[in-house]
Amino acid sequence: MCNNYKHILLKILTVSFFSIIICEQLCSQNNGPLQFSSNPQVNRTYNSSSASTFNNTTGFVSPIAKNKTAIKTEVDGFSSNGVYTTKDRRIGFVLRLQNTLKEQQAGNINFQLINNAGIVLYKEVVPFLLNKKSSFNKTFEFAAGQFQPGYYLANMHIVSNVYEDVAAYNFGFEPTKIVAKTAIPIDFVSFWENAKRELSNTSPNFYQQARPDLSNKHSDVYEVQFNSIDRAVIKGWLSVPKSGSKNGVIYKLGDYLNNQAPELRREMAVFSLNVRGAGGSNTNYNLPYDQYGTFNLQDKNKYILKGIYLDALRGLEYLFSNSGALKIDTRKIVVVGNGLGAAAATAVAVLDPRIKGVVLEGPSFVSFKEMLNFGEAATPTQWPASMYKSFYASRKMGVDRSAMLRTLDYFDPVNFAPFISCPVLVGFNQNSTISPAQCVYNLISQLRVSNKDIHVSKEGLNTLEKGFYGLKETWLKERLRQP
Amino acid sequence: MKKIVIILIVSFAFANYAKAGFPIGQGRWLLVPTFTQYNATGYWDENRQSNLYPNNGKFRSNYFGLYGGYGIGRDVDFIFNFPYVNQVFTENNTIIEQLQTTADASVGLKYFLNHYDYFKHLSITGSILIPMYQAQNTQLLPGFGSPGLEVKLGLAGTNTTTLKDTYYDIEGGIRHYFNPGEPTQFFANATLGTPIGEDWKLSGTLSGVTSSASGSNTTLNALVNRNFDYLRGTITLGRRIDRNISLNASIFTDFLGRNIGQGSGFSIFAVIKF
Repeated sequence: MCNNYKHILLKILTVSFFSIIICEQLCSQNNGPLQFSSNPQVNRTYNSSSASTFNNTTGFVSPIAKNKTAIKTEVDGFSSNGVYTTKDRRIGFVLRLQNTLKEQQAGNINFQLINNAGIVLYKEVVPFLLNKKSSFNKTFEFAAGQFQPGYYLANMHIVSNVYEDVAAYNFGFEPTKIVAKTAIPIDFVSFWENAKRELSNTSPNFYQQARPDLSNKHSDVYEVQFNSIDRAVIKGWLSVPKSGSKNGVIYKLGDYLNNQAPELRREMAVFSLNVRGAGGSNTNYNLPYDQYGTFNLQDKNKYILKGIYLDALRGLEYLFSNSGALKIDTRKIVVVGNGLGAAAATAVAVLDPRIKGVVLEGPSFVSFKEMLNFGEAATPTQWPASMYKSFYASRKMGVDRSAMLRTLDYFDPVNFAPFISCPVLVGFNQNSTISPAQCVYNLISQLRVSNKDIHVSKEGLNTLEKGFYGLKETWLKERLRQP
Repeated sequence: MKKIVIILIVSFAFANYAKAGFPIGQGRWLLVPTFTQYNATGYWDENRQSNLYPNNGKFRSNYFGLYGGYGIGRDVDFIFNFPYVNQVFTENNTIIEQLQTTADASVGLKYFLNHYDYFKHLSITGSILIPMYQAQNTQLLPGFGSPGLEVKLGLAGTNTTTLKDTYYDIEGGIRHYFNPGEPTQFFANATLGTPIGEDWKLSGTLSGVTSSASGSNTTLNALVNRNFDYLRGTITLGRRIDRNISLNASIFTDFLGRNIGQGSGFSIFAVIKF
């Protein structure tokens, strides 16, 4: 264990050094906005009548305004899945406005194309005139050579004499070639060394109680409780199959303030942990939803994510400490993190590499800087970017945006990712507003482990398609060697 | 005795268990030991007319098989089948002919073309057929005594909306024997199964084979009929024993046929995964 940890520390230091160099190089290449030509012949065409040739509706419309019915908006991307490559002949979309009123409307489309750094690459004001019950099509088309791998947000603020609304088209260009610009703090290693020491100095007082009322004929359920740092009392549920002498374990870490219920499986044990603030683990941490994620963010040593990550780490310690009595096979533990739980799972995978694999299911609170860039660029500001924006905007703690991001670097899964040594499964939705695809690709780009599976959901926004769950079950069986 | 080769069916009809179209899983093994007994007291002639064997003739085949596989990867399985048969034909309770031998073994690879969200799986399987016996000029035979090749397409899956939790396994393919005069066979089978409670499963299978050979047979067993077809129905009940083993029992009967025995039987098999 000790040797393992030293090995990881060495890797962290090495990768940190190179990451800083790479970061500087990348930053030097991206000092300004891309030079999008305004020549309409080169990067955009105007077409007021050809929307019917584009059938793929991949954009989403964000209605926010006072009158949302006077114009019906529709965004048709050239790509069926909102992802483009250098091989695509056309990159862009058609915005279609349909006048639903029996009166003429005149106005403007205020178009902005924003990159992952929050920089406006291109903007244009397009006037339109809609006769009664008529439509207006505007084609926004760009040349592939102008894009770098990444995700882009096309924001369209549409205003007429009776209407105001916002439409958006989020699309990716060569996303699998995205390379994150990491910013690993120089004391990242010592910070987490100290954090682990702090945890080990906190007596866990592991306690478990059988819950026959929640058990069934196949599985026994236990209510688990232990202590973590900062006086947190953490609770969770462990279910163990009655048959079998040794069982693999799915260690579940739930999403943001998600209350984890017991999950019973016949083939494997499941440990569902409620980190501080979630479910029954709210002693001393009964926080409002919109303040939970920024609680004590002014101090990295007290920030809630530090506690959450260490709660999750202690949960793993519990499994190892009680394996014999609970028929747990500690050689077969897979951490499954959902949303914020996925962020915690990346930390656990690095801080205790004894696990067999890690599943990152719709990881959020990832790549904070770009999450903020995208979230703040959208109208209205997307959650959780809005929560972080409220925090730094208030300046109550004297923390500005830059200082806040420097603190968040200690907790960014992108900075943990290079040190994960176990197999990884990542599933995410490329249209997610909570965790923009760019952020997840940043995380993926930092995974050094060769055994990784990626599943990209293309429908909906913040949900995963059933294909991911099918893959997840297959993947779990492979890792835990279950029939 | 009418020259009807019931045994050729038996060698293959139980080579696959009802969920063979699902992937085994990377690094895992599947073993399906099987015992099948088939009894026929009559046959369908070339006009599909049902007849009894003369002289109170009865055919019985006891089939012992070991089907299995290994998951080479998420998309590739190695599969095999090793059969052994014990056959007897009697007339008026007197043994006319008896046979005990290994039959046609098969080894092959199953490649999954698509997993479709991992709830349904499209596969193509290629197998070579290896006769594990010497061809003889007898009436009871474990096979055609010829090496062969089998290629089949399969679609297996679990329903997640309509007929939720039911599963299906559909296969269709071609089997060709290389020796001159030996037949080419087209076969298909379709299974629909449903869980009953937590531990039981019930499934129904329809399977059919049509076999045809052109030209005259110049090899041994020239009297054996290579031109036949049949349709068979099977009902299987399975029970989960633990996470690795399930036990299954089937009954089956032949519905339609041409130039083939008309019989029924039962099968017992275990599905072992580890």
